[in-house]
Order: sequence, then structure tokens, then C-alpha cells
Amino acid sequence: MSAPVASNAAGAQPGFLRLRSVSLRFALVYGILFVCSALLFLSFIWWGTVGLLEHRVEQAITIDSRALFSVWEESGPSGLTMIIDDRLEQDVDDNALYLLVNKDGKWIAGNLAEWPRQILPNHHWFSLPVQRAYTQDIAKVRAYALPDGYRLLIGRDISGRTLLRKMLTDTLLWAWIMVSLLAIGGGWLIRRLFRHVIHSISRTTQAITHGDMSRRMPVQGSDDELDEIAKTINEMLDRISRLMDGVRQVSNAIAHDLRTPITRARTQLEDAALHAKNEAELRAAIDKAVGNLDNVTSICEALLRIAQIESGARRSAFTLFDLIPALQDVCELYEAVAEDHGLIFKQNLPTHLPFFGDRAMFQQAVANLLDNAIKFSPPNGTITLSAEIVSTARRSDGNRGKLLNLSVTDEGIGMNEEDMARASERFFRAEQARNTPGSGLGLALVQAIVQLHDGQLQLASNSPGLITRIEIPLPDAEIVSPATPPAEHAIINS
Amino acid sequence: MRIMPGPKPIIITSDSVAFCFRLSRVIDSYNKGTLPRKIIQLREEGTDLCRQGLVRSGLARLRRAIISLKRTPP
Amino acid sequence: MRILLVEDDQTVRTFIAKGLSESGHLVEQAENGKDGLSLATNEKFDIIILDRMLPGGVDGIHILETLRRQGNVTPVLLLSALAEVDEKVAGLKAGGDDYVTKPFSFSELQARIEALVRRNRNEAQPQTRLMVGDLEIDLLARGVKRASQKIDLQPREFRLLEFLMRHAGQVVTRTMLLEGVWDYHFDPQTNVIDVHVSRLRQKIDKPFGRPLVHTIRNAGYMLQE
Repeated sequence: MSAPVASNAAGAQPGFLRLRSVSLRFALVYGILFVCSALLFLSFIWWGTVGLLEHRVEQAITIDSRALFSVWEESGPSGLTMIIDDRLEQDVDDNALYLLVNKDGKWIAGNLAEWPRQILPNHHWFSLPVQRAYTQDIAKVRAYALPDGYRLLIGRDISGRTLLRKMLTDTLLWAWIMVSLLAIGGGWLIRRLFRHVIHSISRTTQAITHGDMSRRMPVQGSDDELDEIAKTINEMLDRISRLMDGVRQVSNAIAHDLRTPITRARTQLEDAALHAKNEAELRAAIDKAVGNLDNVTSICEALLRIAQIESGARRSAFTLFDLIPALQDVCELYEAVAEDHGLIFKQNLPTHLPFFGDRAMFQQAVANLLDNAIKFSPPNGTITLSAEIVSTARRSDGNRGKLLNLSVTDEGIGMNEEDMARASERFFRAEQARNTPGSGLGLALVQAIVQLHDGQLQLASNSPGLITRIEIPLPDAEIVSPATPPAEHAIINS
Repeated sequence: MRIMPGPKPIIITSDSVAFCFRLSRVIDSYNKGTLPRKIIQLREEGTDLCRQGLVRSGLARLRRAIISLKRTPP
Repeated sequence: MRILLVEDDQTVRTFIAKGLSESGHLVEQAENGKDGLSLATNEKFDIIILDRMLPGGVDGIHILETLRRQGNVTPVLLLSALAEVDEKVAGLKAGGDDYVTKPFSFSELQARIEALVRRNRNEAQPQTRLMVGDLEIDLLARGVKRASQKIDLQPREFRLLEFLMRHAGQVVTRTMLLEGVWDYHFDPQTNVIDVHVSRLRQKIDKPFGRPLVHTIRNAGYMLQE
């Protein structure tokens, strides 16, 4: 027994000629296809040249024989002799062969010394070696039986054509051999290329299976299919990383953020059970505990909702609608709240804005942004909701199209750069926001909804305050809804 | 097509000096008056080549001369 | 009011039954789908409270569908721990009249039960005019009067008041208002509803001294003389 081989996760033994290797199969298929097509192509050329030449010779002899037969019928052996002599005298190509013999095999006319014994007048084609002035050539001949035992032989010296044929055949054969070599070389190259790609993919994926999530496929920058695969895989890995981070983040957050209200509720109940002096105190403690538990429930619900949105399942509920009435609905809900907080609420909305998405979801996203803006604004601050269409934006799919640019601006406490980067994480709450009510899930939900719509959520500083900007690609189709009244521009509530 | 492995190739009788002379005679038999210069020249060259042993080259010239003769009306 | 309660969790069942009995209702209890179905088909109830997931093969949706197939139109309120929008839609599609997600507060459940029963009774005669005390609204002309004095309301304020009037004498929770008046199915973090109700109060209560809109602690609001 040989020493145990270190196990390789991908099972990629270095076996050089494994038939089960896909790369070898690819190479073989490539090679065979190449050789076969070359064979077919070269045969076609061979038939087109050499075959045609032979056919021409046969055709010439056949036509010649018909002419001679008619002479025979008209004027018998003497006429035929004359014609044959004529033909020989005028044979500029110097390749015609004739022989006419009588029933005893005696020479009557023609340029062959004697009747070749092997040749029978049976209309078959024969190849006959002939002795010329200084060479031995091959002739193609056919013999005919004439009445009264006469026999006629017609032929052509084809040695010139034979030479050409040999040359052509040799050339084509060599060409085929070269092509085969090329095919083998190409196959080998393809195999190497293929193995290179597969191995690079499998190396990366192996590293990842072993836990190194930071590994990525190398991208050559040539924008070819391989790069496309590499990019796709990298995108997939990025998404997996993000999801894994999300899961990690959420489990940490759950450990912390859910424990807090649960601990409070528990403490309140236990404290009441031990120390409450009367029913009123007991009830107050229970009410507080219930409040904390409700908080737990709403956190759970928000988390589930984010998870559901992130799974992308809601995309099937997307419809085409005018965003403006939907936004006005939300504004109407929050206008009163802003007013109640002594804030100025401005709206900068176009008349119509065709939008493709989930109406209720998008309203919730905007509601959350307004909610935040109101929550963190000092009295007399201004909150602005504006939406506009940016028409020459470049979308993620590379097409130029329209982009919705929606922003909520406040003049509140704002955020520092570091916090902005982390703001859309679940449960993230900036230091200054610790004391305001909220679960830290509002922006995470907005982020999830915006991502569901293929958009981007950006935070920027308004000094003082914060600008929350949503950019979402718009559908190309315009919808016109004459039923909706035109939006009032910059409504100011003071 | 059958290839006949004959040990002895058939001799082509037209590849001979005799045939050269025969063609030369055929040209002469057309001699009803004067032959065109070109034909005389071809005949001379042809017979010369035949005498020097270059039978097939000679024959080629003689045959060309005959064809030219046939084309020119007598 | 005769109420059928089908719920497998004993704590929740006892809690609901106790609360409803205290409010003067007659509660029949079933702890599994089979008993619940036979009770629901053989006896007459004003409302059925149905847990969506029940042990023993017969779940809430199954009971609901069977009842609706039999032509039984008793209002059904579904209880479920499944909070997703699609789950709600499925429950309502199967013939449910309302959907309450666990965990819930008793006041929310009670408010919804009363709203359902009331709706069921009112559906018989469509109203064009609602009155509570000296407050009167005309649904066709969309006019509001109190003590014969005309009050101007924004369209949304009118809808809020209409909703409260239709549920006069009942507790209406904030969630019910958000769903019924604004058609929003999410939970805004700040108390937007409170702000809108307080604005309404400014118009219909403040000038008249005697308040009609009452805040019910830990529950919601109630419009009452």
C-alpha cells in the first residue's frame, strides 16, 4: 500500500489524463471537432479538383467514342482510320491514344503498337502503362467492340494529371496533418485555459469553504466572460458576507437590545413582587413591564420585517404608480406632528412622478425618515422633503435612465462621519440619540426598502442637521394620472 | 478503374521520328501555292527538333502548323 | 354577546375568556380545531375568535373555510403569531374579518371584537347621518355640526371623526385608526395618531366645553356622550 495521500477537498488529483476531467473532455471534443471538420473540408477540396479532372478525362473519351462510332457507321474501317489519323495529326495536347484492330488483332490505325492483352472491349475504364519517347506514363483507356470483330481503344495520357493529383493529394494530406497538430495543440491550450479557470474558481471557493470569507476571484479587467463569472461570484460572495455580517450583527444586537427591555420588565416585576406596598404600586410596575415587553415585540416585528424585505420576496408586489399622492399622504400624516413639535415642514414635490415599486413599503420608508427628522429636530427647525427626477443619471445596469432623488433634510443634531457610515446597521444608535425613544431599526428598515427598490441610501451633513437621500432608478414608461390634483409647491406650516 | 500491371508497357508509335516525317509530309501535301511564313518556320523547327531527338517538342510544333493550315482556307 | 373562542394555548385562552366574561359576554371555549369546528357549525355565535395554528390537524384557516363554504357569515377574528403581511392577506382571503397578531393587548382585541360585531349589525342599513350627543355629521354633504354650529374639517379630519362616530361608545385603538383612516399597516414610532386626534379635539371639543373624545388609558380613544 502506498502512503496515504493528503486529502484534497476538491478531489483535484494531478492525474494528467483523467477521462473524467471536464477540461480533458472539452479539449478532446474541441480536437475531434477540429480534425473532423478539417477532414471534411479538405476532402471537399480534393473532390473538387482531382475528382473533377478525372471526370473531365472520362467525359472527353466518352464524347470522342460517340463521334468515332458515327464515323464507323457511315464509312466503316477506312473512314475511321482516316479520322483517327486526322486526330493524331492535330493532337496539340499530345495525349490522345487510339488503336483500331481487326478480328485477328492486327493493327489497322492508331498510335499504339499493339493491342494490350489485358484489356477487353467491355466498356470498363482501364489504367494502362505506356512507353512514350522518353518516359513511361499512365494512360486512361476504354475499349469498344465494333461489328465484324473490330476493336477500338480510346485513351488519354493522364500522367500530367496524375502528377497534379499526386501533388494535390500530398498537399491536402500535409494540410490535414498540420491541422490535426493544430487541433491537438489547441485542445491542449483549451484544456489548460479551462483548468486554469476552474482551478482558480475552485481554489477561491475552497478557501471560502474553509472559512476565509475575505478571498475573492481574481478579475483580469478584460471584461470577458471569465471576468463576468469572477465578478458574479464575487458579487455573490459580497452578498453572502453582508448577510453573514448581518446575521452576526443581529444576533449580537438581539443579545443586547432585546435583553435590555426584558431585563427591565423582569426587574420591575420582581421588584413589585418583593417590595410593592399596595395595589396601585403593583399595577404601575406591571404596566411598565408590559410596556417593556411591547417594546420587545415591536423590535421582533421590525427585525422580521427587515429580514422579509431583504429576502426580496416582496418584489413580486411591485406596481407602477404615481409617487406624489403617496408622498402627500405621508406628509399629511406628519405635517400635524411637525407642527405639534413647533417645526416648519416644507415640501418640494413635482406634479407627477411615475414610480415602480411597493407603495406601502415606500411610504413606510419615507415615514421613518420624517419620523427621525422630527425626533431629532430642535423647535423652530425646518424639515424639508424634496423629490426630483434626475434624468441623465447612469444606472447600475449601465443604461442611462431616470433616477428618483428624494431627500429629507433637517436642522437637528446631525451625525458625525463615523456614525453616518454605521447608521443603517440594525440597532445602531448614535451616542447623542441614546436618550430618545426608538429601537435603532428605523434606518435599517429604510435601507432594506431602498435596496429592495435597487436604490441607494446616503447620509450627508447639513450643518446643522442631516440630509438623508434616497436614489432609486425609475421606470422608463411614463404614467399619467389626470385624477390626481397638482401638488402644491413648498407648503409652509408655521 | 482497373490498373493493369503489365510488365511490358505498350509503345506509343506516334512518339517517333517517323511520325514527325509523316506530319511534315502532311504539311507539304497542303502545299497548293506558298505556305505562310509562320507555318514554314514551325515545320522547320519541328523537323529540326525531331532530328535532334526532341520528338515530342518537334511534334508539338508540327501539329500546331497543321492546325493553322486547316484554319486558313486553301 | 355569545363568543366562541378557539385557542390551544391555555394561558392565552383563559386570559381572553376572563376578560370577555368580565365585560359581560358569554364565552364558549374550545382548545382544538375539531371541537371548535363542531361548536361553530352547530351553535350560533355573534363572533368567533380563531387561532390560526391549532393542534390536531384542523387549523384555524381550515375551520374558517369550512364555515364560509357552509354559508356561515358569523364574523371571524383571526389570532396569529404570524405577523407577515402575506399571512394577513391569506387569513383575510380565507374569509376572516380581522386579524390580530400575537402578542396583543386585551384592549386591542376587545376593541376589534366590538368593532366587528358593530359593523356586522350596521351593514344592514347604510347610514347617511351619524349623531353622538349634539355632534352630527352628514356623510353625503360631508358637513359637521355641533350644537347646530358648523365646524370646518380637513378631509382627513372628517374621515377620522367619521371612524370615531361609527365606533361611538367603543374603544378605538391607535392601530385601528391608522389602518382604518390612513390605510397604513405599519407602526409609526412617534405618536402621530395622538397628534391628529388632539387637532380634531381642538375643533370639535374645545369650543364646546363638554368633551366627546375621551382618551382611554393604555388602549386608545372613545367617542362618547
